[in-house]
Amino acid sequence: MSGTEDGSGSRVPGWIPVPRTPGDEAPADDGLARLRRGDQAAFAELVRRLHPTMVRVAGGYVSSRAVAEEVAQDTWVAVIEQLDRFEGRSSLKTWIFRILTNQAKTRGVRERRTTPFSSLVTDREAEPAFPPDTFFDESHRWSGHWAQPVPAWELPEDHLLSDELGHVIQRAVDTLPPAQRLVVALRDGQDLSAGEVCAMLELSEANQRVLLHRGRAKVRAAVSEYVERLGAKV
Amino acid sequence: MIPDEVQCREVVNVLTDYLDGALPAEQRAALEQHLLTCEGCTNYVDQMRTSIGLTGRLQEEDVPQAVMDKVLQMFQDRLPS
Ligand SMILES: [Zn+2]
Repeated sequence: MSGTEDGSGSRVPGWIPVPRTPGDEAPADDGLARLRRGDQAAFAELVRRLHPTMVRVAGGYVSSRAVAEEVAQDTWVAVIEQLDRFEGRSSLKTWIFRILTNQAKTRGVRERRTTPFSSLVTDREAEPAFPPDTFFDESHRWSGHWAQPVPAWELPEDHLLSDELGHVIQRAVDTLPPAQRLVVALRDGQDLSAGEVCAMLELSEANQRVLLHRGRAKVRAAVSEYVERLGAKV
Repeated sequence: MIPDEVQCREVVNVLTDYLDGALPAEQRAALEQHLLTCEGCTNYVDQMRTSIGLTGRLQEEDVPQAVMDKVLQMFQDRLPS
């Protein structure tokens, strides 16, 4: 698997991209002005969107959920203190997660924990994300093609937004191996770009992509299972 | 990857590179060619896009009220009144 190391999220011609706001584009108004004015509602909204992921990411570096929660709260203290000094060269979100990962790493070192990425080499070689009978094997005329049909998901709007599906996603992400969990939570959970996540987690583009790839496959599988259960119920 | 010989397994293997725009031009063209005629892969790509979109719902998780109150208090205390 080779690829250019361009993680800038360049668009593929003819491809309809997933609707998202890439974090590496010109930092739009993150509500920064409102925060600097002391707008409580804007701050609460920011905390609501980011805090659970911050705890999840910190948890990859430290020994317990309680310590991760502490690291996330310390990060808010730092954010509040430094808000006026933030220069807006990155998005506010990226800046906050950078503070968080730095604090979590420091804390992890103090706890003498190994980083979630230290076992990356073995992780890369881990078993494929699909059961062996997903594709036809070499002996088959259609070697490498789907062995079973892949049905389109029938997910009505209200199911897409259901709490139940929200919990399926949470559980799927939280049961990923730590390195995959961090990458999926930041890339897909918070819409950060490949470049931002690589810099934050000190990962190469290639490793980042492998982790994202494996993590995404498992989250998709969890949703697929949910969709099938739903279909069976109706 | 020669267009006629693209296998579904390969599409799945390079999908993240493809979505990140990190696939070399010929591979990308071959993959898109394959998608035109393969329903399984087309559905798989759609599923993956839905799943990625759904992962964005992690931004809707609940923050414990005690934590929210504490952080909001810190924010308020910072203000020059
Ligand atoms: Zn196919």
